[in-house]
Amino acid sequence: MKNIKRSLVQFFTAIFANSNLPGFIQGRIYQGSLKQVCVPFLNCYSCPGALFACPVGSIQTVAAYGGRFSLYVFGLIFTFGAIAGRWICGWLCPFGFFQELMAKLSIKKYAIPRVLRLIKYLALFLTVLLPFVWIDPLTNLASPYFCKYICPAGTLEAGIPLLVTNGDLRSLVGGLFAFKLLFLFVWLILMAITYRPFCRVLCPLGAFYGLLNKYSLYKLNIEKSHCSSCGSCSIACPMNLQVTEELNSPECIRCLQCKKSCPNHALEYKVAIVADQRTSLPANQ
Amino acid sequence: MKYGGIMRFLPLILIGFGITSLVYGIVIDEPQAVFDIAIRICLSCMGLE
Repeated sequence: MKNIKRSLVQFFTAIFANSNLPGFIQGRIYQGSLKQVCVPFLNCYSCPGALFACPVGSIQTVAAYGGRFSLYVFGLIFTFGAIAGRWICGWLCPFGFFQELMAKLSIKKYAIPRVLRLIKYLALFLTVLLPFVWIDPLTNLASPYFCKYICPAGTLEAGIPLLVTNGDLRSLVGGLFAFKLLFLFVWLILMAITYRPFCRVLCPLGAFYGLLNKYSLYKLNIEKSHCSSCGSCSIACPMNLQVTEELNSPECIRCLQCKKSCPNHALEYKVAIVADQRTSLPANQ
Repeated sequence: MKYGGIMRFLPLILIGFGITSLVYGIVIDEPQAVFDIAIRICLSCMGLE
Protein backbone atom coordinates (compact mmCIF):
# COMPACT_ATOMS: atom_id res chain seq x y z
CA MET A 1 0.00 0.00 0.00
CA LYS A 2 1.57 3.28 -1.10
CA ASN A 3 1.61 6.35 1.05
CA ILE A 4 0.69 9.11 -1.40
CA LYS A 5 0.46 11.75 1.31
CA ARG A 6 4.07 11.12 2.35
CA SER A 7 5.30 11.23 -1.24
CA LEU A 8 3.53 14.56 -1.77
CA VAL A 9 5.02 16.02 1.41
CA GLN A 10 8.49 14.85 0.34
CA PHE A 11 8.03 16.24 -3.16
CA PHE A 12 6.82 19.67 -2.08
CA THR A 13 9.50 19.91 0.63
CA ALA A 14 12.19 19.18 -1.98
CA ILE A 15 10.70 21.81 -4.31
CA PHE A 16 10.29 24.37 -1.53
CA ALA A 17 13.84 23.92 -0.21
CA ASN A 18 15.29 24.19 -3.73
CA SER A 19 13.03 26.76 -5.36
CA ASN A 20 15.68 29.25 -6.48
CA LEU A 21 15.08 28.19 -10.07
CA PRO A 22 17.11 30.99 -11.75
CA GLY A 23 20.16 29.57 -9.98
CA PHE A 24 20.00 26.43 -12.12
CA ILE A 25 20.12 28.53 -15.29
CA GLN A 26 22.68 31.11 -14.18
CA GLY A 27 24.98 28.65 -12.39
CA ARG A 28 24.84 30.72 -9.21
CA ILE A 29 23.63 30.03 -5.70
CA TYR A 30 21.01 32.00 -3.77
CA GLN A 31 22.62 34.63 -1.52
CA GLY A 32 19.59 36.18 0.18
CA SER A 33 18.82 36.40 3.88
CA LEU A 34 16.94 33.07 3.99
CA LYS A 35 20.37 31.40 3.89
CA GLN A 36 20.63 32.22 7.60
CA VAL A 37 17.97 29.63 8.24
CA CYS A 38 19.00 26.00 8.54
CA VAL A 39 16.62 23.30 7.42
CA PRO A 40 16.42 20.22 9.67
CA PHE A 41 17.31 17.84 6.81
CA LEU A 42 20.24 17.17 4.49
CA ASN A 43 20.09 19.67 1.61
CA CYS A 44 23.35 21.06 0.25
CA TYR A 45 23.47 24.85 0.49
CA SER A 46 25.66 25.01 -2.58
CA CYS A 47 22.85 23.60 -4.69
CA PRO A 48 21.92 26.41 -7.12
CA GLY A 49 18.29 26.03 -6.05
CA ALA A 50 18.83 25.92 -2.28
CA LEU A 51 17.16 28.71 -0.31
CA PHE A 52 18.34 27.53 3.10
CA ALA A 53 21.48 26.22 4.81
CA CYS A 54 22.28 22.54 5.37
CA PRO A 55 22.76 21.66 9.06
CA VAL A 56 25.53 19.13 8.40
CA GLY A 57 27.49 21.59 6.26
CA SER A 58 26.84 24.49 8.64
CA ILE A 59 27.87 22.76 11.85
CA GLN A 60 31.11 21.56 10.24
CA THR A 61 31.99 24.82 8.56
CA VAL A 62 31.30 26.91 11.65
CA ALA A 63 33.64 24.52 13.51
CA ALA A 64 36.30 24.43 10.78
CA TYR A 65 36.44 28.14 9.94
CA GLY A 66 34.95 29.70 13.08
CA GLY A 67 36.51 27.33 15.61
CA ARG A 68 33.29 26.94 17.59
CA PHE A 69 30.42 24.53 18.09
CA SER A 70 27.26 25.99 16.60
CA LEU A 71 24.55 25.99 19.26
CA TYR A 72 22.13 27.44 16.71
CA VAL A 73 22.41 24.46 14.37
CA PHE A 74 22.65 21.94 17.21
CA GLY A 75 19.62 23.45 18.97
CA LEU A 76 17.62 23.41 15.76
CA ILE A 77 18.22 19.77 14.90
CA PHE A 78 17.95 18.71 18.56
CA THR A 79 14.53 20.40 18.84
CA PHE A 80 13.27 18.79 15.65
CA GLY A 81 14.69 15.42 16.73
CA ALA A 82 13.10 15.66 20.19
CA ILE A 83 9.74 16.46 18.62
CA ALA A 84 9.65 13.96 15.77
CA GLY A 85 12.81 11.81 15.67
CA ARG A 86 13.47 10.32 12.25
CA TRP A 87 10.07 11.42 10.96
CA ILE A 88 12.14 14.20 9.41
CA CYS A 89 14.13 11.60 7.42
CA GLY A 90 11.00 9.83 6.28
CA TRP A 91 8.83 12.81 5.43
CA LEU A 92 11.01 15.84 4.74
CA CYS A 93 14.51 14.92 3.54
CA PRO A 94 14.89 15.55 -0.23
CA PHE A 95 17.87 13.21 -0.46
CA GLY A 96 15.85 10.48 1.23
CA PHE A 97 13.09 11.13 -1.31
CA PHE A 98 15.61 10.84 -4.14
CA GLN A 99 16.80 7.50 -2.75
CA GLU A 100 13.21 6.25 -2.60
CA LEU A 101 12.72 7.19 -6.26
CA MET A 102 15.90 5.31 -7.16
CA ALA A 103 14.63 2.28 -5.22
CA LYS A 104 11.56 2.19 -7.47
CA LEU A 105 13.74 0.97 -10.35
CA SER A 106 12.82 -2.60 -11.22
CA ILE A 107 16.07 -4.21 -10.14
CA LYS A 108 16.52 -7.09 -7.70
CA LYS A 109 16.73 -5.74 -4.15
CA TYR A 110 19.19 -6.78 -1.46
CA ALA A 111 19.19 -6.37 2.32
CA ILE A 112 21.85 -4.30 4.05
CA PRO A 113 23.85 -6.20 6.71
CA ARG A 114 22.77 -4.82 10.07
CA VAL A 115 26.29 -4.22 11.29
CA LEU A 116 26.84 -1.63 8.54
CA ARG A 117 24.23 0.59 10.17
CA LEU A 118 26.72 1.36 12.92
CA ILE A 119 28.95 3.23 10.46
CA LYS A 120 26.66 6.26 10.54
CA TYR A 121 27.34 6.79 14.25
CA LEU A 122 31.05 6.91 13.49
CA ALA A 123 30.23 9.34 10.68
CA LEU A 124 28.27 11.50 13.15
CA PHE A 125 31.11 11.45 15.68
CA LEU A 126 33.75 12.33 13.10
CA THR A 127 31.57 14.94 11.39
CA VAL A 128 31.28 16.89 14.63
CA LEU A 129 34.78 16.24 15.98
CA LEU A 130 37.18 16.28 13.02
CA PRO A 131 36.84 19.95 11.98
CA PHE A 132 38.07 20.88 15.47
CA VAL A 133 41.03 18.54 15.69
CA TRP A 134 42.39 17.69 12.23
CA ILE A 135 44.12 19.89 9.69
CA ASP A 136 43.44 18.92 6.08
CA PRO A 137 46.79 18.03 4.42
CA LEU A 138 45.45 19.28 1.07
CA THR A 139 44.81 22.82 2.26
CA ASN A 140 46.58 23.12 5.64
CA LEU A 141 43.24 24.25 7.05
CA ALA A 142 40.42 22.50 8.87
CA SER A 143 37.62 21.60 6.46
CA PRO A 144 34.04 20.35 6.48
CA TYR A 145 35.38 16.83 5.96
CA PHE A 146 32.09 15.01 5.56
CA CYS A 147 31.01 17.41 2.81
CA LYS A 148 34.40 17.40 1.19
CA TYR A 149 35.23 13.71 1.06
CA ILE A 150 31.98 11.83 1.51
CA CYS A 151 28.63 13.59 1.02
CA PRO A 152 27.11 12.32 -2.26
CA ALA A 153 24.24 14.82 -1.86
CA GLY A 154 26.71 17.69 -2.36
CA THR A 155 28.06 16.16 -5.57
CA LEU A 156 24.59 15.46 -6.89
CA GLU A 157 22.85 18.68 -5.83
CA ALA A 158 25.71 21.16 -6.09
CA GLY A 159 28.77 19.82 -7.92
CA ILE A 160 27.13 18.51 -11.07
CA PRO A 161 24.54 21.30 -11.62
CA LEU A 162 27.07 24.07 -11.01
CA LEU A 163 29.73 22.54 -13.23
CA VAL A 164 27.19 22.15 -16.02
CA THR A 165 26.05 25.77 -15.83
CA ASN A 166 29.11 27.64 -14.56
CA GLY A 167 32.16 27.49 -16.82
CA ASP A 168 34.44 29.28 -14.33
CA LEU A 169 34.24 26.36 -11.92
CA ARG A 170 35.27 23.73 -14.44
CA SER A 171 38.93 24.67 -14.15
CA LEU A 172 38.80 23.48 -10.52
CA VAL A 173 37.86 19.93 -11.38
CA GLY A 174 40.55 17.52 -10.25
CA GLY A 175 41.17 14.22 -8.53
CA LEU A 176 38.90 15.01 -5.60
CA PHE A 177 35.92 15.65 -7.83
CA ALA A 178 36.66 12.46 -9.79
CA PHE A 179 36.72 10.54 -6.51
CA LYS A 180 33.44 12.09 -5.37
CA LEU A 181 31.82 11.41 -8.72
CA LEU A 182 32.86 7.76 -8.48
CA PHE A 183 31.62 7.65 -4.88
CA LEU A 184 28.27 9.11 -5.99
CA PHE A 185 28.06 6.51 -8.77
CA VAL A 186 28.55 3.71 -6.23
CA TRP A 187 25.80 5.17 -4.06
CA LEU A 188 23.45 5.48 -7.03
CA ILE A 189 23.90 1.76 -7.69
CA LEU A 190 23.32 0.98 -4.02
CA MET A 191 20.18 3.13 -4.06
CA ALA A 192 18.83 1.09 -6.95
CA ILE A 193 19.46 -2.29 -5.31
CA THR A 194 18.48 -1.48 -1.73
CA TYR A 195 16.20 0.90 0.11
CA ARG A 196 17.72 4.18 1.41
CA PRO A 197 21.30 2.89 1.79
CA PHE A 198 22.77 6.32 2.58
CA CYS A 199 20.22 6.96 5.36
CA ARG A 200 20.89 3.56 6.88
CA VAL A 201 24.65 3.39 6.60
CA LEU A 202 26.24 6.81 6.40
CA CYS A 203 24.01 9.80 7.14
CA PRO A 204 25.22 11.61 10.28
CA LEU A 205 21.93 13.49 10.56
CA GLY A 206 20.00 10.23 10.41
CA ALA A 207 22.25 8.88 13.17
CA PHE A 208 21.56 11.96 15.30
CA TYR A 209 17.80 11.75 14.84
CA GLY A 210 17.97 7.99 15.39
CA LEU A 211 19.45 8.53 18.85
CA LEU A 212 16.39 10.64 19.73
CA ASN A 213 13.83 8.30 18.13
CA LYS A 214 12.97 6.47 21.36
CA TYR A 215 12.62 9.67 23.34
CA SER A 216 10.83 11.94 20.88
CA LEU A 217 7.43 13.41 21.54
CA TYR A 218 5.89 11.84 18.44
CA LYS A 219 6.45 8.11 18.42
CA LEU A 220 5.05 4.73 17.55
CA ASN A 221 2.98 2.91 20.13
CA ILE A 222 1.48 -0.56 20.11
CA GLU A 223 -1.85 -1.56 21.61
CA LYS A 224 -0.73 -4.99 22.78
CA SER A 225 -4.26 -6.29 23.30
CA HIS A 226 -4.98 -5.72 19.58
CA CYS A 227 -1.78 -7.28 18.23
CA SER A 228 -2.18 -10.80 16.85
CA SER A 229 1.56 -11.14 16.09
CA CYS A 230 0.76 -11.76 12.43
CA GLY A 231 3.96 -10.03 11.30
CA SER A 232 2.28 -7.86 8.64
CA CYS A 233 4.00 -4.76 10.02
CA SER A 234 7.48 -6.25 9.73
CA ILE A 235 6.81 -7.47 6.19
CA ALA A 236 5.64 -4.00 5.20
CA CYS A 237 8.55 -2.16 6.85
CA PRO A 238 10.89 -0.85 4.12
CA MET A 239 13.70 -0.48 6.66
CA ASN A 240 13.55 -4.24 7.41
CA LEU A 241 12.67 -3.82 11.07
CA GLN A 242 10.90 -6.34 13.29
CA VAL A 243 8.41 -3.66 14.20
CA THR A 244 6.85 -5.06 17.39
CA GLU A 245 10.26 -5.98 18.80
CA GLU A 246 12.06 -2.84 17.65
CA LEU A 247 9.45 -0.24 18.42
CA ASN A 248 10.90 3.23 17.75
CA SER A 249 14.20 1.74 16.65
CA PRO A 250 16.87 4.28 15.64
CA GLU A 251 16.32 3.00 12.08
CA CYS A 252 12.57 3.73 11.99
CA ILE A 253 11.86 6.67 9.67
CA ARG A 254 8.15 6.76 10.61
CA CYS A 255 6.91 6.15 7.11
CA LEU A 256 3.68 4.67 8.56
CA GLN A 257 3.78 1.59 6.32
CA CYS A 258 3.55 -0.62 9.43
CA LYS A 259 0.50 1.24 10.70
CA LYS A 260 -1.22 0.97 7.33
CA SER A 261 -0.48 -2.73 7.02
CA CYS A 262 -1.77 -3.73 10.46
CA PRO A 263 -5.13 -5.53 10.06
CA ASN A 264 -5.98 -5.02 13.75
CA HIS A 265 -5.06 -1.33 13.99
CA ALA A 266 -2.69 -2.14 16.84
CA LEU A 267 -0.07 0.42 15.82
CA GLU A 268 -0.56 4.10 16.37
CA TYR A 269 1.62 7.17 16.20
CA LYS A 270 0.94 9.41 19.14
CA VAL A 271 2.32 12.09 21.37
CA ALA A 272 4.42 10.08 23.83
CA ILE A 273 3.29 11.48 27.16
CA VAL A 274 -0.32 10.59 26.32
CA ALA A 275 0.16 7.29 24.53
CA ASP A 276 2.16 5.37 27.13
CA GLN A 277 -0.87 5.00 29.38
CA ARG A 278 -2.56 2.89 26.69
CA THR A 279 0.35 0.58 25.98
CA SER A 280 0.45 -0.43 29.63
CA LEU A 281 -3.13 -1.73 29.62
CA PRO A 282 -3.35 -5.44 30.41
CA ALA A 283 -4.54 -7.65 27.56
CA ASN A 284 -7.91 -8.49 29.13
CA GLN A 285 -9.11 -4.89 29.48
CA MET B 1 8.20 1.03 26.24
CA LYS B 2 6.73 1.73 29.67
CA TYR B 3 7.99 4.47 31.87
CA GLY B 4 6.46 6.72 34.48
CA GLY B 5 7.10 9.72 36.69
CA ILE B 6 9.36 12.45 35.41
CA MET B 7 10.59 10.18 32.59
CA ARG B 8 7.21 10.56 30.93
CA PHE B 9 8.09 14.18 30.42
CA LEU B 10 11.50 13.41 28.95
CA PRO B 11 10.44 14.46 25.43
CA LEU B 12 9.34 17.84 26.75
CA ILE B 13 12.58 18.23 28.71
CA LEU B 14 14.57 17.42 25.56
CA ILE B 15 12.55 19.88 23.49
CA GLY B 16 13.15 22.55 26.14
CA PHE B 17 16.88 21.84 26.01
CA GLY B 18 16.87 22.08 22.22
CA ILE B 19 14.94 25.33 22.17
CA THR B 20 17.21 26.85 24.83
CA SER B 21 20.27 25.96 22.76
CA LEU B 22 18.63 27.27 19.59
CA VAL B 23 17.61 30.58 21.18
CA TYR B 24 21.04 31.06 22.76
CA GLY B 25 22.64 30.36 19.38
CA ILE B 26 20.41 32.99 17.78
CA VAL B 27 21.15 35.51 20.53
CA ILE B 28 24.90 35.19 20.03
CA ASP B 29 24.36 35.79 16.31
CA GLU B 30 25.24 32.38 14.93
CA PRO B 31 22.74 32.61 12.07
CA GLN B 32 25.00 35.37 10.71
CA ALA B 33 27.97 32.98 10.85
CA VAL B 34 25.92 30.37 8.99
CA PHE B 35 24.85 33.03 6.48
CA ASP B 36 28.46 34.10 5.86
CA ILE B 37 29.26 30.48 5.00
CA ALA B 38 26.16 29.53 3.10
CA ILE B 39 26.13 32.45 0.64
CA ARG B 40 29.44 31.36 -0.86
CA ILE B 41 29.74 28.41 -3.18
CA CYS B 42 31.25 25.71 -1.01
CA LEU B 43 33.93 24.16 -3.17
CA SER B 44 34.44 21.46 -0.57
CA CYS B 45 30.79 20.41 -0.86
CA MET B 46 31.20 20.12 -4.59
CA GLY B 47 34.46 18.20 -4.38
CA LEU B 48 36.44 20.95 -6.09
CA GLU B 49 39.95 21.93 -5.09
